[in-house]
Amino acid sequence: MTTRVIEAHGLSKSYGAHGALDGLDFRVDSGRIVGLIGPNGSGKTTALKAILGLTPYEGELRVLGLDPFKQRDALMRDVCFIADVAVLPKWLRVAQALDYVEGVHPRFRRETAEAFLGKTDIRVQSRVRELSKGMVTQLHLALILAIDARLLVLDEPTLGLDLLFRRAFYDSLLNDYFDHERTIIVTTHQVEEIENLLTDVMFINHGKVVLDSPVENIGERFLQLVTTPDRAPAARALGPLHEREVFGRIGMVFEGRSADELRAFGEVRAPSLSDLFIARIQGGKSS
Amino acid sequence: MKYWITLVRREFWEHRALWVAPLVVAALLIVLTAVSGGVHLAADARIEVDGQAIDFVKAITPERAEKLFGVLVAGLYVPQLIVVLVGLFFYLLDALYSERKDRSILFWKSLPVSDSHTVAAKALVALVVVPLGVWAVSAVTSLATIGVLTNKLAGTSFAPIVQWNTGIWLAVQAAMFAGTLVAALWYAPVAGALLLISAWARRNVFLWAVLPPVALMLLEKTAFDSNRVASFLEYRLGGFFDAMGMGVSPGERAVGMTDREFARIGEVYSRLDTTPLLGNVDLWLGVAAAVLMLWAAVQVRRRRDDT
Repeated sequence: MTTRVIEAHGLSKSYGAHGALDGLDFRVDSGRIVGLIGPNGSGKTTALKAILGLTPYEGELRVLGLDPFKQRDALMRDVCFIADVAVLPKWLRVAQALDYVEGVHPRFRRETAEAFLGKTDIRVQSRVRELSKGMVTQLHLALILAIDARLLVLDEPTLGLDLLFRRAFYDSLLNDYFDHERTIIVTTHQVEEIENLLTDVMFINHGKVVLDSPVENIGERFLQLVTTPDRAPAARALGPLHEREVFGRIGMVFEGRSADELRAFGEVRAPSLSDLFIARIQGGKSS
Repeated sequence: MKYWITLVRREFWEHRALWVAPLVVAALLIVLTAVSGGVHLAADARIEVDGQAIDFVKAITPERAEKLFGVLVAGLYVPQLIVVLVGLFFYLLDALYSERKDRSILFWKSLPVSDSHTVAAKALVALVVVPLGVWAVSAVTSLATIGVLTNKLAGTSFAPIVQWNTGIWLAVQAAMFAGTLVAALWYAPVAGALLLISAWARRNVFLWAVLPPVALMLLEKTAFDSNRVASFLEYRLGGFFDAMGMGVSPGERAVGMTDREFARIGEVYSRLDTTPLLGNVDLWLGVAAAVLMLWAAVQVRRRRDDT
């Protein structure tokens, strides 16, 4: 059964004169994996903080039916988040981390976390300061996976990790954690790496949602054309969102054009999320 | 219950000095007594009685021995108190600051623990858990120290100086226990102020705790040539020890103790009784101020997002 997990209307937040969120409207349903993608300073971290009750905001926001800022402690029974790799305190021992979460979280299953840790090189007597960056993320993930939560929020969870750890992280997430009752929101700069696991994407820029779509609809709405400079002017007449030149060939992203229309000018394919992201954020400007 | 125990344990994991320091002081007291106890007393140590110097050991009547024992038992608390007060000062300043400095606040806030519970647990640790722990450690320490000392003096002419007295020992422990709880109330506003600074200051919590009061004192002195700020702080910081009769210089009292003062002391432990402070309206005004400052610390922790 699908339920509404997040509902935002006119979500706004400003730091002094600088507006971080400018009237965001969006919904997230259960069972989705949403990629929240935006450039630095776009407001995506602020949006996550609002969802997690870490910051006051204006507008309407319900997460699992609760007001996140007023009811953060109640909300955190059902919501987990990993802010980024640096947030486990250096003095904490692995065993203490397990004791603490077990002591305060009614939905934490210690055996699950221990089983996960058993598959890693992490020893329970180690302190966080003795672990590598990758191991700290594994530890945090072990804690999170053992919590029976309904919404998981990941903000740059794999920042600074090497490729092997990043791949293993998302594999664990999908295999050990995700099911269709749960919802995941993830932000990352490494869009290509999570492209295949997302069900929805939300692009955010200057505090506004510029694209909010299920992944399966993207191929219908957007197409990428790769063409040559001599055929480019004719293709340009169809109004691409964005174009760029790579190795003497020109890539254009179109919205609402059919593949048949475009095939006359060159090779047509579905744009990758990063191409689409650049097209949406930079608009018509060519680079 | 398990929830609150977890919140309290977490504080001792991060701030190990809170439990290590009292144990180290206790060990030092016992070891130092074993190594040097009694040696520093010269054979001809004298005490002044009614202006007349007399032989110290001979002056010890059974009645005086009781009081001497009381002073000894209570005196063993002094090193612990000094260390724990310094330790708690730095603990409170660090309590809501280090989690912002290392950004671990984002981890703590990802768990179902409210800001008010977090702040309450830290205040509870500083005002109740650590002081009661120190009280218990001190009680055991005094048993061990007195045992070592008695053993050491046995058979020497100094033996009469330490005469075990169960009634007095228990009375001192009871007075200290009550004193610990009264102190928690008396010092609650100080703890509240330190936690508020800890939640609020962007950096340099120590300077924020120390400089503003000093600056205010100097300003007042230069502008009005008065000392209201200074005497207010002295009252708030030292008032409890004044009530305990351990005021400005406990050393003076002990050294210059005359027979008349012995008599005036009466029962040693009756001077340790701080419960009359509960009738002082200033104590309760302080508790009200503490509640306000703790509430403010909760609001600051809840609203700020500069991590």
